[in-house]
Amino acid sequence: MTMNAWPADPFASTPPKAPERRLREPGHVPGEIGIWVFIFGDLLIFALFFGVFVYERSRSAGLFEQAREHMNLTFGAGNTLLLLTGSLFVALGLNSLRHGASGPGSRMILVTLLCGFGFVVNKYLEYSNEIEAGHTPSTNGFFMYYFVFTGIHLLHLLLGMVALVIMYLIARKPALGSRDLRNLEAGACYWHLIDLLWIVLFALLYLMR
Amino acid sequence: MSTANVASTATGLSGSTEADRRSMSRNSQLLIAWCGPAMVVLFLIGSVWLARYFPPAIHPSDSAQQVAQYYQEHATAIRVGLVFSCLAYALMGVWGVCMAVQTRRKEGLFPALTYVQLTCMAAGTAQIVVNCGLWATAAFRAGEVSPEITQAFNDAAYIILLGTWMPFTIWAIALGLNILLDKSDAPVFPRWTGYFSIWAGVCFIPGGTVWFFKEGPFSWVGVVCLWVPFVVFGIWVLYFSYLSMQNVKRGFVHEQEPAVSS
Repeated sequence: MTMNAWPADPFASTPPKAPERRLREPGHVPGEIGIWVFIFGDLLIFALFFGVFVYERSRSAGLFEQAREHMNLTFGAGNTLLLLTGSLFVALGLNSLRHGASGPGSRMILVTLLCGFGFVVNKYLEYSNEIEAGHTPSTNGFFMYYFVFTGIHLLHLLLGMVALVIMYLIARKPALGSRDLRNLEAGACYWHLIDLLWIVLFALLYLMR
Repeated sequence: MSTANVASTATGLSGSTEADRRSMSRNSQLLIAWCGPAMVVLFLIGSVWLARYFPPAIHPSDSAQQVAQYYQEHATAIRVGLVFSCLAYALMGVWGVCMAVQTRRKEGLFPALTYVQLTCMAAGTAQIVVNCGLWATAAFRAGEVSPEITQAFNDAAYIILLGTWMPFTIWAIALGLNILLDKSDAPVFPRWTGYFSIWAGVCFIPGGTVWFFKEGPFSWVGVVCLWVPFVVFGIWVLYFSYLSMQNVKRGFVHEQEPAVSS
């Protein structure tokens, strides 16, 4: 039996360089349709989370407001800044990669990865701070939502960092095919989702009075 | 079985044509695909109508006396409901094989992700069958033993049902990756369903909050902890059952691509 004879790679003939007009094609979906199914599915679940939070908050506004005043705005704002910077660099990186600039493109993805890493460190410091101050998920309703929602968001971010590592490896390839670009775009869209969810969380947990 | 019988069976086998084999494969694959909807129906009969653990009749903040009393008063309905429920979960194992058979067709000689699916699916089935046993244990001596014992078994069942989401999440992600890593023009399932399956796997994670909360949306009566994983799991099972049936009906039953090529 000739077990070692594999069929030819059907993608061997994909163009070595990404077609730049891909950007301007009408009806172009960034990444692919599937990643948007994931993103809107996730937004649906988080919309449910936010609805539950706002409803519960309206039932015990005094307690939520009192707990919110304990929140350290510096951590929250710092994390917002980190994620927005990360999103900017992943977008810039993708733009470079579309024009064949592998070096700058991959370095910008690395900057995004560093922003994500900074977010994790910041979150660790913030959690330790809250726990030291005696705030745990069982303290009251507000801190229950705070820990669970930011925890689930953190899990998304860690997944996003795995995606960024894969994106970095793709970006380092000497030439990008259309499949590579598709995967890069899908990863960048996912990173923007993390950013978007955080902005809503930031508003609900740190700012909403 | 007599020797004559064996001989005739053997002759029958050797005389079977490629068409016969395809037809058998087709029927068995349709059968296991239908286990998905069957599982959902049995779950509804067992858990929603009879045993009433979904949505939960017993709250995590109920006292031990309340729990024991509920079990005592509804012992028969709970036991019969759990039989249906357990049957549903057993069919989950069969349905898991259906997914594995579908993706195995394209994965090649070393189907790593299909093996991951099978292992996690089997582990998940085992644990979810066990939690039915725990509810049945609670019902077994409710009223005879001290209420705390009944309550503890009831707690344990929910804590396993929702808190052990890990094999299910890995299962759904493995199925999703099976679809997304397929580089051919004709993946087993539409490409977007790969992302859908990974999303479903992520949606099982909130079940883990059952370990930490006795009330609110993160407890076992909560919208985040209970409803999100169960509703998404139901949609996931039904949609992939439908896709598998479509595949079988289109005749994708007996081709194993890399093994056939030479």
